[in-house]
This record gives sequence, C-alpha cells and structure tokens, in this order.
Amino acid sequence: MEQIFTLGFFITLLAATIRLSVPILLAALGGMFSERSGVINIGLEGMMLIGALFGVIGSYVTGSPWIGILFAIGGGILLALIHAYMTVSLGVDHVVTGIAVNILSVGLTSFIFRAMFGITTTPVKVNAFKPLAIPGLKDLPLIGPILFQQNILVYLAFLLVPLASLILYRTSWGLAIRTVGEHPKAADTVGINVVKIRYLCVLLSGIFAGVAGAFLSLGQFNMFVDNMVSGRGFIAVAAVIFGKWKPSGILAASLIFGLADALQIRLQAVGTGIPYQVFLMLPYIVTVIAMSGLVGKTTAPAALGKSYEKN
Amino acid sequence: MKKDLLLINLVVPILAILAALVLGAILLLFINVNPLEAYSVLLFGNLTSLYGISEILVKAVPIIMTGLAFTFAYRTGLFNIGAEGQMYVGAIAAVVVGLKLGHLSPFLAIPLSLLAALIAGGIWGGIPGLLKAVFGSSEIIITIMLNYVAVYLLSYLVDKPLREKSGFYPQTDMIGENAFLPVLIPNTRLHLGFLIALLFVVLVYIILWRTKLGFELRAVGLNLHAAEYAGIDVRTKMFLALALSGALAGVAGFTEVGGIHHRLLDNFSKGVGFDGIAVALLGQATPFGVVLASLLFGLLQVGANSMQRSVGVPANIVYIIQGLIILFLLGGTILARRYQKKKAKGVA
Amino acid sequence: MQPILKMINITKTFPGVVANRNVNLEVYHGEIHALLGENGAGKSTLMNVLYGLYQADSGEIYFEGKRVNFESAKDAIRAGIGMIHQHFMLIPVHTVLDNIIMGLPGDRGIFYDRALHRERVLEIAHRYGLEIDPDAYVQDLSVGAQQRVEIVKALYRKAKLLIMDEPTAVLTPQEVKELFSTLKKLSQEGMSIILITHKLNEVLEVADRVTVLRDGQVIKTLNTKDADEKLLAQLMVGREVNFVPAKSPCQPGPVVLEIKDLVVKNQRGITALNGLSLTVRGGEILGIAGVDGNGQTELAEAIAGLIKPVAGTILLNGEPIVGKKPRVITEKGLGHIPEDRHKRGLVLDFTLSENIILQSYYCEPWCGKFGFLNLNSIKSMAQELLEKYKVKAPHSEVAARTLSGGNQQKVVVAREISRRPKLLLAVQPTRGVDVGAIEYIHEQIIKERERGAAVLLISTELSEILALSDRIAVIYKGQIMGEMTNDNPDINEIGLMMAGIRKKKEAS
Repeated sequence: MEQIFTLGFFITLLAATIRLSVPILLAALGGMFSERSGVINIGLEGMMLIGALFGVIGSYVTGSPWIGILFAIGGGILLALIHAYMTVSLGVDHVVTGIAVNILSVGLTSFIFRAMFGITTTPVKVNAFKPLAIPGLKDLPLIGPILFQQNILVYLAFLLVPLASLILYRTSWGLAIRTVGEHPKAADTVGINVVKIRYLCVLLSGIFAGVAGAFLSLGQFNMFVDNMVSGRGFIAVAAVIFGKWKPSGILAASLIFGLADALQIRLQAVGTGIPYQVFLMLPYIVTVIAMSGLVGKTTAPAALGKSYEKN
Repeated sequence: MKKDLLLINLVVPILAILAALVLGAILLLFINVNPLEAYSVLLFGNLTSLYGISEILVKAVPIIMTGLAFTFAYRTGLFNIGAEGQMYVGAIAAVVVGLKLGHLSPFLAIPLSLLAALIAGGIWGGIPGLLKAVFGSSEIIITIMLNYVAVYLLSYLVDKPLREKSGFYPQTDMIGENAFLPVLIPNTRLHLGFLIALLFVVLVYIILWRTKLGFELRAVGLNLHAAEYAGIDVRTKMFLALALSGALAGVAGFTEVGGIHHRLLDNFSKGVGFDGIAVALLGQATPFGVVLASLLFGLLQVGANSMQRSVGVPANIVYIIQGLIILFLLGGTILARRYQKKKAKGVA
Repeated sequence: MQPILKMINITKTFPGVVANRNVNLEVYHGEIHALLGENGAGKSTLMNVLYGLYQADSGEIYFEGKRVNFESAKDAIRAGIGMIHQHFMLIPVHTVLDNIIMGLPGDRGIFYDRALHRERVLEIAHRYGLEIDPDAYVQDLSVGAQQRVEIVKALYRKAKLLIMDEPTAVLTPQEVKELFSTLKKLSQEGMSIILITHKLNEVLEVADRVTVLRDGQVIKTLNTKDADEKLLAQLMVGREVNFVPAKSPCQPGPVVLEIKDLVVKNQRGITALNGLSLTVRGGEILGIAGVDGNGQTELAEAIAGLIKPVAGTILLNGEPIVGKKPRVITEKGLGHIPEDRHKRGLVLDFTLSENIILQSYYCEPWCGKFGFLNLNSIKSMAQELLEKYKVKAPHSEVAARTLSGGNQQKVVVAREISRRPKLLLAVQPTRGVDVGAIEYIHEQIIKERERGAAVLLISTELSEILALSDRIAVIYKGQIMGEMTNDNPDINEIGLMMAGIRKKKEAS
C-alpha cells in the first residue's frame, strides 16, 4: 500500500483535483448568481448537459472548440430562458421547474445527438481543448505540474472567482442582485427592476452551466455520451449551499468535490482491492456528508425560492 | 366555481399535452419524418391489440408507484427526487428474497418480497428524512445523491456478491418461480403488480385524506408553522413522509423484479424515478391523477419504442415530449389562474 | 400657491374590491398633510399609486405642476418622491450605507465609490440631526434607528415629498416625539410630508391639514386647527365610536397562569425575555402593553410551548409546563389566538372545517379507531360553529384563504374559545381586521373572562389594552416594567414604561 502514495501520486491527484473541480466551480458560480437573486436553480444539471452536447456540436461543425463554447453558451441560455420565464414571470415553483428543465434536457440531448450522429457505438471525435502550460510557471516544483499545466478553461474558471466577488460586493449590479435576493419588495421601492435582475442572473447561470458542460465534453472526456454530467450539476447546487453563497466558499467546496472525484479515479486505477463502485460513490457520499450538519440554513438569501408579484 | 376547476384540472392538462405534441411534431419535421405517420404509431399503434394495451399497463405500473412516492412527500411539502434510487434498493431487496425464499409458497414468497422492497425503499427514503429532521439538510440534494449511490450499489452487487452462478453476465440468477408475479392475462406480460399498484393508489388516497396521519402530513406540507402550533411534531412527520415515500418507490423495484425481469441487472429500469415526478405533477399530486398520467406515459413510452422500430425516430423524443408536457402544464395552470382572476375582476 | 402634489379622481380596484374611488388629494409645499383612515380605508393603496408601485385604473396625478405617470418606484424617486413604508424596506444583512445607496447607479462605471457616499450620507444625517452609523448592519439597529436610516435614504435621493406610512406603529411615545420634531424641522425647510395614520392624536399633534378616507373615498379635507378628536373619529368611522366595551366589575378567582423569572432566547440567540414574571387569575384580563419587538412574541410562544425557555418556570393551574410539548399544554387548557393568523393560526389552503379541528383532529369524535377521520361529524360540527360565531362563509368546506381577514380571525377565535380554555392567550387579536370584527372579537374575549377563564392579552395597540384589561403590565426588553389596575391609569406613566423608564420616583 505504501508505494501507492508517492509524491507523483499526490501531484497527479492534485492536478486532477484542480481539473475536476472546474465544471462544478463554473456551474456553482452561475448557480450562486441565480440564488443570490432569489431563484433556486436545480436545472444546472440539465443546462450542463445541453452545454456538453452543444459544445461537441459546435466543435464538430466548425472544428473550433471555442465556437463549441459559444454553442454551449447558447444551449445554456435556451434552458435558462425557460427557467427564468417559468419562475420569474409566471411564479412556478423553482424546484419543480428545475426538474422539468432537467427532464427536457435529457430528452433533447439524447434526441439531437442521435438525430445528428445516428445510433453509433463509436464516440464522435471532435477538436478539444489541449493543456496549455504557462511558460515559466509550469516548471515550478510541485506547483507547476499541479496548477500550470492545465487547459485554458481551467485558468479562466479560477479567474472568475475573484471576478464574481468583485461584481457581487463592489458594484451597483452586485448590490442590486443581493438586494433582490434578500427583499425584492425593498428593491422595487428603490427602483431596482426585480424581474430584469432575476432574468439576468438566471441567464448568467445558464451561461456558466453551459460552459461547465462544454468543459466536460471538450476539456475532459472529448466526447458526448448520454447523461454524461451524472449529477455534477446537482453537486454544484450543493456547492453553492456548502459555500454559503459566497465565491470563496464555493471555490473551497468545489475543490473538495473535485478532490473526491480525483481520488476515486486514482484509487480505481491503483487497485486497492476495494470494489471500484465504492470509489464511484465517493463524490456523492461526500456531498451527503457536506449537506448534513456542516451547514446552517441561516446564510441563505432571505427571498430564495420565493416568487415576487408586484401587484 | 365548478367551471373554473374544470379549466385548471382538465382543459389545461389536455392543452399542455397537445402543445407538447405539436412542438414534438416540429422536431420530427426537422429530421425529415412525417409527424402524422410517426404519431399514429406513437399514440395509437399499441391500442389496436390486447398485447399492445397490456404493454402500456405494464409500463405504467412502476411509474404509478414512483408517482405515488413523489405525491406522498410533495403533500408534506417535501421533494423526493430519489424515487429512482429507492426503486433500485427495493429491487435489490425483492431479488434477495426471491433468490433465497423463492421456493416457498407464492402466498409467502410474494408478500415477503413486497415487504422487503417496502422496507428497503423506506430505509433509502428514511435516510434523507432523518437528515432533514435532524440537521435540516436539503432533502432535494440528498435524495438525488442517494440515487447515484444506489446505482453503484446495484452495479457492485450484480458484479460481485450476487452475480449469477455461471458468472457470465453482471446479473443475478433468476429468482424462484414462486416469487414471480402471476400473469393476469395469458399471452401478455400484464402481471399482478398492476393490481398491487392500484391497491396502493387507493391506500395513499385513504391515508392522505381520510386518516389523522394524512391530516398531519398535509398540514405540515401546507403550513409548517401552523402545524407546529397545532401540536404536530413537524420533524417526525417529515421523516415519516420521506420514509413512506421511499417505501412506495421501493415497490416499483419489486414489481419490476417480480413481474418483468425476474432477476436483477445493471440499469434495469432507467428513468422511472423521474417519470414518477412528471406524472405526479401532471396528475396534480392526486393518486387518481397519477394513474391517468402514468397510463399516458406508458402509452408514450411503449409507442416511442414502436415508433423507433417502424419509423426510425429515436425513442428519446418521448422524454422531450414529457418534459414539455410538464412545463406547459405548470405554466398553463398559472396563466389560467391569471385569466380567471382577470375575468373575476371584470365582473366585479 | 401651487400645490406640490395634486391627485385627481384616482380610482384603483383589486379583484373584488374597490380600494380607491375617485380620490382627490392636494398637498402644499412645506406642509404636513395627514391621511387619516381605518385599516382598509385605502390610504396605503393611494400612496402606492402615487409612488408608482401600483397603476391607477383612472385619474390624474400632477407633481410640481406637471402631469406625471409613474410606472415604477424609480420614476417616482427620480421626480422627488420618497416613501417610508410601515414595514421598513431595509435589508437586515446589509450595512446602513448599502441600504441607503442600493438602487443607485455606480460611480465609476458599475463600481461604487463607497467612501464618497459615506461622507455625503453623514453630511445629510448631521444636517437634520439624524444620528446614524453607516457601517452598522441594519439587523443590529433598534427600530427607531432603522427609521432614521429610512429617512436618510429618502433624503439622499433628494426627496421633496416624503410619504410616511404609519411611522409611529413601532415606536415608543418618546421616539414618536423625536420623530415628530424631525418631521417639523423637515417641513420648515420646505419638505412636504404625507403622514398615513389611523391615530387621531397624532394628526392633531403634528399635521397642518388632514384628509379623511373611508371605504376608499375621501370624506373630507380640513385644517387640523378646526378639528378635534371627536370630529375626526366620526369622520373616520362614520358613526359614534363605542370606545370601551361594557363589562362587569372584575371578580378574580384562583391563579391560573404563573410565570416566574422566565428567560427566553429568540431564534438568533439573543435574549428576548430576561427574567419576566407575571400572574393571571381566572376571571380577569391582564393586558400586556408595549412596543412591538420587546419580547411579546417570545412570551406567547414560550407559554404555548413553541419555544423552549432557557430558565424560569411557567405554571398553568399549578402545573409546570416548561419543556412540555404544545399539544400537552393545549390539552391542559390553553386557548391561543396567535399573533399572526396566516403564519400560525390557520392553514390557508385547508377547508374551514379542517382548520376548526386543527388541534383536536386526533380526538374523539373527530377521529375514530385506527386513525380514521370522521368527516361527516367534523363537517356538521364546523357548520354549527361557523353559524354560532357569525363567520361569513358560504359553507364549511371552502378554503380559509377565500375569507376576509376579519372572518379568518373569527374562525381562529371561534376555534380557540369553543374549546372552553382555562387560559386564553390572545396576541394581537384584532390586528388587520375591520371594525365590525374588532368589536365582535372584543366581546368574545370579555365573555371568556365572565365565564371565568384567565385572559392574557398581548397587544401593541394601547387603546385595545385600555379597553379590555382589568390589570395592565408593560413589557420592555423582555421584562415587566410595572403593573397597574385599569381604573384611571396614568397614560403618561405607561408611555414612560414602554420606553424603559421605571417610575418617576426612581428617575429623580
């Protein structure tokens, strides 16, 4: 057993942790904006799924993974618009709508995939994102291989954390978002357009989740398979709660979930005698533990999940 | 007043179904399929034969159970998104009983495997219930996470400890024949599970609307604070609601094992848990509405398979239609209420 | 002189209700104009129309001589109208500064220059003598301080007309005095102020003119120097007001409720009751007066078993009930009209009969063997009760949500009284209900006292306390400040105690 846990093991483990935390981080940051404005979004899972497929389609059609990302964003926006219209304009229960969005996404993605590529057994190959080592930094001992030999989306995702912080706490937009999520009527009385803010935040979550999905299909697996998101969108929802609706907390939560994911892959690979299914359960069990007792409900935005009707 | 209820409970669902079908038709046009041809197979292809109709009922059985499961928790104000996992562990329990006790009399083997499925599902639903009651953890997230855990648990069991003796496929041996659910109509697959599901429909209705437990659960669901004020132990009821909801979903695993597969295999019945949510919403979270909606979903899913065979349309289109039905229904209900309010205002 | 505001023939309807009918209102520069009316007279609706939160069905609004049509609060704010709502529109988890600048555009692009705003906010606060701390969190402020934040918030947006909706409801008499002097100072500097209120003495004390609303219509506009309480009351209610319901002399029986040194922490962990003691005897009404938020909610919830006290004892008929479950306490003879009928008192989507058996659903004869409900006997009992207590409802199987506030409250009162409680705990029993229902509920409470029940009445309406109580106790910061019998009580002394100042002797 001791030979397993070498320095090399830890370096690859941590590098994988960073990489695997990205889809959760991206989706969770988007989910944070949505929830901060008061809209629960468990449709993140479906938005990631459609992002994963559209990313592949975009890259397949144009040959550019960047165009793929744009496609993924479009897919995310499409589902986010549905979610926003249902929850914000009509006032349908947020959780129920999110479930419907997920069901729709499962159907849409598998149908479109088959309609486009036929019922194949060989995965469709597309141009994906390649690792981009940062000159100078990549050669740093330990840190280099862990942090600076990732693909470009990884760097962008981590840069989004301080950016999200800046927007949320330093700008008029951020104050408006936080106000709407705490007390929409008060926001209304100072002239903040509650509907507009909520729409924008839900759309933002769709964009982020779409990119997160494309990261899976273009930056990690380099293909699309049915249901390939396999709960990462839901884990992202958990990360928002576990991260107490703060960018820094969400970063920490995403890294924990990324570590659980990385650990299960590494441990499967080294062969420990423990059934591999136990490792596959790990990220989900970690989420259950994280949601139990470790979090208080007090920090949730006060108007979370509540529809606002003006008249 | 009566007319208003008719609009919400009947006209809106029908319109939602039609609108979803129309949108689905547009998708079919995109892939160069004649929607009329495809839909005649999807909707009516299986209604012309007894076998076809029986297949629809067979498909509806587990959906009725997971639909009841969602309804039961929903009426207590909770979202059980974990019917899928609860069904899996129910199936595991039913198979274990079927393997070990399948040689007993059917009058023992069948009730025992039903009981085992109820208990296993109840435990799987009870875990999020307990976490909700003790820590206030989101039952939504926990039930979803436990779905994945159940999937891998099943995968492990059929891979290792419960693998068939020949060891060829990752699946269990057949359960004892005395644990098979008897077929109701010869030359069809319609099995006793259908009647068992209908029995649970009535049971859930009686529990929710005719007993003090149901009164308590619905009070918690509609107004937690008032329930507390009324001396109802809110946490216990939440736990109970999720555990019983899980037990109902566990029965879906029992009917699939005892009535259809007679053994356990990886991913033996995908998506039934989520179909249950859809039918519960479509059925307005009432037990009888769940039955009607499940029959519709059964029809669509069996029809979609026929459509894939005869017209070459990917069967997955049925999930798009199902998702659209829910969205149109939810949105349509609100729009209909707004329309009624506006009309009421015009009269006043 | 041109009025700053002219509202002409404003009509606003909601489904089934005409909230404003052809209302006319003129407000002059530098004037304090009171809008007087009962709950539901249409005052708040009218002001929400003015502020752009509601759109009028018909009518015209002129502000500073120009025809205006505010589609949102943003338009109204831009034109120079500020509104301070009865329930403050503040975010508890934001700082005072963030509460003041929220909704304003950024300074450099979308970024705020908080230092600059901070300076300007302090400058305005100083100019009007409104002491605030921009860096404090609103959730840590007293109600009076929160109100100052609201005023500064409006001034910061350069308001020329300030609408104040029931600003004194949550203040102590002393805080009210301070507020009024602030308002007078503002009006001297040219600010126009509309004061929404249903309190006659406030109108006479601070307003220059008053417009009386009743049932959505303007009854009269007059100068306050030509008015007195009696006249205003008549205009407001439309008939002679029976201020004090008749009741026989008090004949106290044995002690029913005895509370000793009760300590309770609220949900946020802050001490809400700090060693509170009181006793209530059968056949008497003890009224607890006090400003909202001084532990009234926690006192009621502790008695009812809904929160667990940290220390102290509560005896009901001599039996300790601390730590007992709500159901046990109910069975020992508590009837509880809760503070918020929508939150606790009713399940709005339950039928009336389901609401009527809310605490007794598990008992014979409503629940038979094996836990089955006896729907027919429940229905007939409910129907009977609705008739006996004059609840206006088509039948017992409609949802509670469909009833008016007054009738909903009557359902709660009927349910609690019909169980013939030994202790009736009535918390804000007439909040937000119409005059007819208020009188009816007051009669029922007095009837309970004559029957021999002990009544603990908790109300922030001093007039209600004075009208019903045999004894009056004043609660302040979780303690009883003092107690007196209700024959010619010294209102001034009650007011001082509500502000936390114990008797005059101790003060000197």
